[in-house]
Amino acid sequence: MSFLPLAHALSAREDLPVPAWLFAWAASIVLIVSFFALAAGWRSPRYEELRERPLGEGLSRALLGLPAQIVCGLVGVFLLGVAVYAGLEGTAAPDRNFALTFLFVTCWLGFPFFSAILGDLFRPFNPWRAVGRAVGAGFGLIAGQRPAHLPYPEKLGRWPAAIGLLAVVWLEVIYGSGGVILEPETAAIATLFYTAYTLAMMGVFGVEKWCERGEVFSVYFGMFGRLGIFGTRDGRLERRRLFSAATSWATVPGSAAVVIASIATTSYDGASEGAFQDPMESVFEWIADAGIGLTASLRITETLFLLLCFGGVALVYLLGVRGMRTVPGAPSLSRLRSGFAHTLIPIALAYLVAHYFSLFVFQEQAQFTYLLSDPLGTGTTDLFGTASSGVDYTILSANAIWYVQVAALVVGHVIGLMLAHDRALVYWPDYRKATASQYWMLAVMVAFTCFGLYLLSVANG
Amino acid sequence: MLLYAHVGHQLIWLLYAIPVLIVSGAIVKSFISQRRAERQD
Repeated sequence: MSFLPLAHALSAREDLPVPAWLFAWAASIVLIVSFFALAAGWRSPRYEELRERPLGEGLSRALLGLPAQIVCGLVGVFLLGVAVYAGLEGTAAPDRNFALTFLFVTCWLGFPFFSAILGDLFRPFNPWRAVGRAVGAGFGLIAGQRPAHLPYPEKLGRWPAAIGLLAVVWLEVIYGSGGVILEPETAAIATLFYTAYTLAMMGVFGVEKWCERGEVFSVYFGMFGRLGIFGTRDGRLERRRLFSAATSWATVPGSAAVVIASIATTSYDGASEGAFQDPMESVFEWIADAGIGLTASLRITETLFLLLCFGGVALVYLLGVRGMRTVPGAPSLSRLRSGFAHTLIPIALAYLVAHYFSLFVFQEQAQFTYLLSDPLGTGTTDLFGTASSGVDYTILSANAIWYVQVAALVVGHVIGLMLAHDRALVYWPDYRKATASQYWMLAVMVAFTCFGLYLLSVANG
Repeated sequence: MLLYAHVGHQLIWLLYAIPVLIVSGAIVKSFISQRRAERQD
């Protein structure tokens, strides 16, 4: 999040009771103990059945009925319009303009955080879905028939969303880095381009199909929503077991790429502030020496390291999958690859919380005070009387941030381990073989935990 | 002293890699011994 002048933690940690690296050792021990506890006490799958409990019909009608859909859709379209307008007409100062904080902090981080608890919250507020559905309904009224769409190439699966996710993060952390700050106007123009692209794709493949497969934000936020306790089925609100809907998420090709892209982009953002600094400088100098301009060299270097992160995270996961394949009775490699992809969702969330929790807490104070009162940041409006408010950075101490980061990583990986163990029991009904297969996933989880803590430790230290 | 501090800073990642190496090593070792036992049977 390099466009904002505040880092993930604002000051160096005070003295911790033990060195930071010992937290990685302790986290690994927690994972190993959890692994053996699962092996000893969890011998049949528990998350494969959703066990949904429909909520009251009146509540479903109130929250999911047409009036609620119209209101939520209008709210989404209005807020997107405000963000684009603020980006185009407001100040170029990124921290004073409503657009950047709203798009890249409130929405980009807020939806995953809250959807992971409550279910997919973005779907009703998705402005592009609302516009697409309204246009479709209008077409139906005028033409007297439903709009015809091309069949979506199922082989593509969620790959457009995975590539789109990398592109969004590229714009956010690479295009706007190293002194070439992402200007609110650029973000607004990119939003307008994305709107045109999304509406065109919705026109070609249908609104719901594109939201399920290719619309970056629907797929990305919806992925975290699968962890949450509320969902919908046949227009009815239902309560389900926490994490259980995640088990059916990765059945579409490209799903693993989406969750790997999520972990990789967060890792890159953290690593570029610390662990990758020296090698990035070397590569940058090497490219610049080849006669390429400084800005282009910087962007090429950062793009290479982002792709390197994607490749690295994918490699660790695929090594774990390859290891599982060696256990007698294992299904095919492709089935294992997609079958365990959902176990990475809690890890992606853990990385997101660990890296951006403090940024979210600090920046939301700005969002709901001066950015709301003075969205353009011109100093000429004070809609709610909070335009002169500031951000209280003392609300979180550096040590508190570190403990939240460690806790998020440990809990996220233990949940990942639990989901993986549960899925293994489906593929290997003999719990001993299931446990043997999960040694490999244990290594994956320990690797991701230690890597995450290392990145945070170097970035915060 | 400064040199040691610099080298120490460069190698700090090793401390984070140790748990990964232990777990991975244990898994690979048990995998190899299992394969060997299967071949002997």
